[in-house]
Order: sequence, then structure tokens, then C-alpha cells
Amino acid sequence: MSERDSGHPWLAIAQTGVTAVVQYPLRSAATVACVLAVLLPYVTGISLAKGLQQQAEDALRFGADVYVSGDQFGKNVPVPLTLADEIRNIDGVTGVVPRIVAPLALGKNNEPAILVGMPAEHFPATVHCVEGRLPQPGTLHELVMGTELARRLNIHVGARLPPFYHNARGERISQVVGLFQADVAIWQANLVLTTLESAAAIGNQEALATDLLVSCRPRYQDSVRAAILRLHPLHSPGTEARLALRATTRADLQALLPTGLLHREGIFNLHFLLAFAVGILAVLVTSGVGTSERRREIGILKATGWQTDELLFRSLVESLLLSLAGAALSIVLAFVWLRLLNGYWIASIFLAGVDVHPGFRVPSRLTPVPALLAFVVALVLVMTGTLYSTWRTAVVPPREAMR
Amino acid sequence: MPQKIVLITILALTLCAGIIIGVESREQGDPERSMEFQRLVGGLGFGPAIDLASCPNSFDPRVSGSCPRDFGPIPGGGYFCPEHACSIFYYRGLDSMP
Repeated sequence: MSERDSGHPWLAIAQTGVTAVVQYPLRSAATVACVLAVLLPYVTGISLAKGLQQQAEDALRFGADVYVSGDQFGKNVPVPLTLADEIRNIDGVTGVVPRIVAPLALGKNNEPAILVGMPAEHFPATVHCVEGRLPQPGTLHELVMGTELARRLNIHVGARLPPFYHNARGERISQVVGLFQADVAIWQANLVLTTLESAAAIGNQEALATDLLVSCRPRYQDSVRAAILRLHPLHSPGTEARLALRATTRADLQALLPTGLLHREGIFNLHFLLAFAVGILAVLVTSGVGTSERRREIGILKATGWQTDELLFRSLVESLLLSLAGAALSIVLAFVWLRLLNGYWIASIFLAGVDVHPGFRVPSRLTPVPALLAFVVALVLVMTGTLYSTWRTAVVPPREAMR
Repeated sequence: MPQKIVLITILALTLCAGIIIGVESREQGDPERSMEFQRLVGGLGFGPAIDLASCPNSFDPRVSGSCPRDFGPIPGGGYFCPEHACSIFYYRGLDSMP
């Protein structure tokens, strides 16, 4: 213990904490592995959630101000296209665009897809988010497909699809004229974008739109919404049933965004369950339950003059280093997994309907607060395992501890 | 000597993690492409699902205001839907808002 007499006793004790990490490499490795088992899914999940949140914020920011659809028995139902003209007359409205969004199944395996129809005049002349070009009205149904769907169906730009729908007016061949770029947003993965006319023909629903996208002047959202809900009652197409309207503003959607790390649902439940289950193992491994070597070591140190607080400080340094290693490694591995391996396998766990090898750029964003939380969780986990057992051994006579 | 190697390794790992977080937290993605895509489709997508097959609400609450598998009155019924039981990006349905 010459280092302890050199004038920096606590620094010397801290150095013995480093020695303890090296002295029992298997125990240290097992502890770091336990910490990794808890933290890696957590950091990966949080990073995915943050990336997804960023994309969701973009979807709100660049979307319409008010979304109008029909409402029957609490379900969204289509509205007649004629409603668009009525909404255009409301004060503060600058534009109304009808849209069709409908589920679709394509290919021999009935791959789930989402049909989106927008008016052709709404499309810009050139875009960078599509490889190929945008759909135009014509004799063929022109489609732009998402990357995941195109890969599953083995489709490339220029491919022609035989009729995959039924329409009383007859069916037409479709042609894929473009593919979305893989990194624009995850929701492009299974999208089939086409013109409003083509979507209506594919869905066999003429003169209807699933929603109307309303743009309005700044600060007019609420008044426009109120005016839409006051419009005279509509009837469900083809029936005498009354059709209520549902108007969703951007502010409504923003209120749905999770409020940081404080929300208690979802991934956090899973994480705490994992932390609890694996944490027990971590405690057992790090505390040396069933092995006498740690007890004997503490007994020898006590016999040579170490005090209980010094032993606890030594354990604290050891725990700090192991938890720092575990937390840092989990952040580096999460980065490699999500960015370099594009979330191979793990993305299919967290995101519904995604293949093991995702066909799009998996969104991710590592931020300081979750990283700090990861370190705190690691520290608490490792310290629970080491400090308590060290203290229990340190307070018994050295002769008993060495036995 | 092994102590120094272990210490340097742990510090290097921590530094790497710090650099990754610093770079990632400043990154804003590609707003141009994202803006272009969202304007093209009129603002679509919100949750962790990429199709409408399992839970349309988890794809976009604008498409479906509530989860079709939400059996709320039954204890735990709100979590019958696999998308809501352990969602990475949990949010309540639009219909449940006051």
C-alpha cells in the first residue's frame, strides 16, 4: 500500500479500483455484457423513436393546415368531391386538395400497400425524392412505388402491372414510372402514388375523396375548422344517411406527439422490464454471489488496514468504470447498428411490417438526454451489484470474510 | 500497464460515444427531400407502422382517428393491438383527445 502513503490516498484507492477491473476480467466482461443487454435495446429504441419523431414533425410542418373527412359511427369515411367547392368559399381558405388514401394488396403474396391519389395538377414539374418521374393522366395508370414494396414485388421503373383491381367500367394496365428515394421518410416504403383519377378507378369509387387537404391563411385554422363543421349536413353517397364531418387541424396532431422521455408507455415499459430481468443477473454476477474470491479479497484488504469507506470508494470506482464502458459501448454499437447496418433485424422488431433487412433508410437520432439516462441506469445497475455486497463483507471481521 | 490500457480504452469509448451524440444531435436530416415528399403526398405518415394492414392509426391518425383493436373498457384492452402494446412511438388516438 505504498501508493496510499504518497500523499494522495483517495487517488491511490481509485487506482486500485482500476486494478480490480483488470484483476477479474471475466467478472468485468460479464458485468459490461449485462449492462449492454439492458442498454443496447433501450438506446436503439430511443434513437429510432427520436428519428421517427423528427420525420413526424416534418409530416406535420409540410402537410395541410386542416384535414377534412367524413365521420360515421366514429370511423373515417370518404366525402364527396363537391364538398371541396363549399370549403373553398370559407373565409381564410387558400386552397383545397382532394386526396385518396386506401389500403391495397399487390402481388401473388398480397403484399400490403397504401394507395395514395392526388390531383395531377398538384404535382410539381420536377422532384428529387423520386427516381423516375411523377404520374400523369393517360391511358395507363401511372404509379410511383415505395422502395420496400418495389423490392418485395421485384419491380423497377418502367415495369407494367396487369390489372389488379375490379372496376365496372373496365380495368387498365398500370405502369411504374418512378420509385421513391429510400431516405425521404419511412412511410414511403409501401406507398403507391398515382393521380386522383387513377386512384378512384383502382378503388372503384368515383367522385369521392378520403380526405380534403385545406390550406388557410395564418391564424385562420380554428375559424376555418369551425366553419367546416357548421356546413349544412351532407348525405352519405348513395344513401339518405347523414354524414358528419371531421376536421383535424395541425395543432390537433401536434398535441399527439410524445412529450419527451416522460411518457410512460411503449418502449419504456419494455425497457424497464428488461432492466429488471437482466439486472438481477447483473447483481448476481457483479456481487460475486457463490464465489468466495471477492469476500476473501475484501477480508485481506481489511486485515491490512483498509477502512470500510475506502473499500466502498474502491468499489465505486470499479462500478463507475464498468458502467461507463457499458454505456459508451451501447451508444457506439447502437450507432453502428442503426447507421452502418441500417437497423438490420432490430428495425423489424420496433417498426411494424418492416423486413429483417429494411428496404428504406431507418430513421435514427441519438440525443444527449437518453445517453445520459443510459449512463445513470448502467451506474445504478452495477452499483446495486457491487456496493451492497462490498459493504456487507466489509463490516464483518476479516477472519470471517477470508474463510 | 494493463490498468492504463483498460483506462485508455474506456476513455476512448466514452469519447467516441460523446462525438457520436454531438454529431447526431446537431444533424437535421435532409429537410429538402422530406419537405418535397410531404408536399407531394399532402402530409402523410406519423407513427411506427408502414402500412395500413395492422393498425391504420399507427400509420397515421389522420387516416384512422382511433385504433381498431382498442378494447378500452376491458382491463388492458387498450393494448390488444400489437402496435400499441409496446410501441416505440406511442400516441393516443385523435378520437380520445378532449
